[in-house]
Amino acid sequence: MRPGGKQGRATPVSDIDMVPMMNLFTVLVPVLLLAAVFANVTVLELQLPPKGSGEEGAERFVEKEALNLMVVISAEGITVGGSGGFLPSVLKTEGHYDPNELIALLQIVRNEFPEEAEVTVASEPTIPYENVMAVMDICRERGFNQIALVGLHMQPVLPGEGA
Amino acid sequence: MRVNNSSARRAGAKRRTRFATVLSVTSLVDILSILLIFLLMSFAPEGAVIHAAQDLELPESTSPEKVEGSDLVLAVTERGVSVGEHMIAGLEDWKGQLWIPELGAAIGPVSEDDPAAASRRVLVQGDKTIPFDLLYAVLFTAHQVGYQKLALAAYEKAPDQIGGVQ
Repeated sequence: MRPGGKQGRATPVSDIDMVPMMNLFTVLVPVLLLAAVFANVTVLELQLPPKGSGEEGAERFVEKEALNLMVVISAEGITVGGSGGFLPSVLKTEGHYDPNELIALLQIVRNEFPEEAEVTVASEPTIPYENVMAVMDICRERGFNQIALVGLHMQPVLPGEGA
Repeated sequence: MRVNNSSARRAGAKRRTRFATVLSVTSLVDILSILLIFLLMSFAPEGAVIHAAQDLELPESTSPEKVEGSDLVLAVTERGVSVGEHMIAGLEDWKGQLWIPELGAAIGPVSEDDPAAASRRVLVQGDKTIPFDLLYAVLFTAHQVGYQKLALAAYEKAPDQIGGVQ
């Protein structure tokens, strides 16, 4: 700063001017804080029984000589079944399901049918969404990617003349 | 009080006469640089961002799929279904029926001549505590008015150690 900088060398300690850097930082931090995404949202795609369901849908389901893997969530527990029969249920212990048991059951199915990707998840009306999502997620992790969602014991009120 | 004040003032005055203090910004710069690095790392430029609706906590999922910008995002809580900040269907009269008339009227019907609208994905942000019948009614209604692609939103979770991804 001073003219004759060489004489300034006599003072051994010199501070770097941090003010411009601070200016930059104080602007950048709020900008990035606003733009930051702390919780990433993911998406799980699913299907519903075909529109008009009833007979058409049922025919399509039965016609196929497929596994028709089904995971049924009820208040008592989770049951895994298919065209061939049912596996033993995962029952609630101390108020909640043990996901490892379901994983083990699905692994049995996976070993039998390595190519299968379809699963139907059916649930009773009162089951919390969180539990249904957890079951769907376990199915997806085991490779059953095409998830169809079905409601059990729903009140079937169909659209009136409006739709 | 008065004694303290005057003594503090005296001490302050003494200091002021002796030193010209320089504000040390080094520690501040340290903190800001760490914060900056952290924020730069969490900065996600790719993919669309959706903001979670109020009073709503999503469940968790390990699904790798991402939100698309064209998604029709419905937020579902016990009180009703909303798009953005607007409540489009209250649930005071809802008694567990599959078809929610107000929601059906608000988002549909989708005409089959309009392939862009019909192929639009409906993304349901449901609070994790809502009962399954409410979630299913919303999905059913959206499906019934003509939306073919349905999806659920969840917070991203690292894959379980036990579960693993095959």
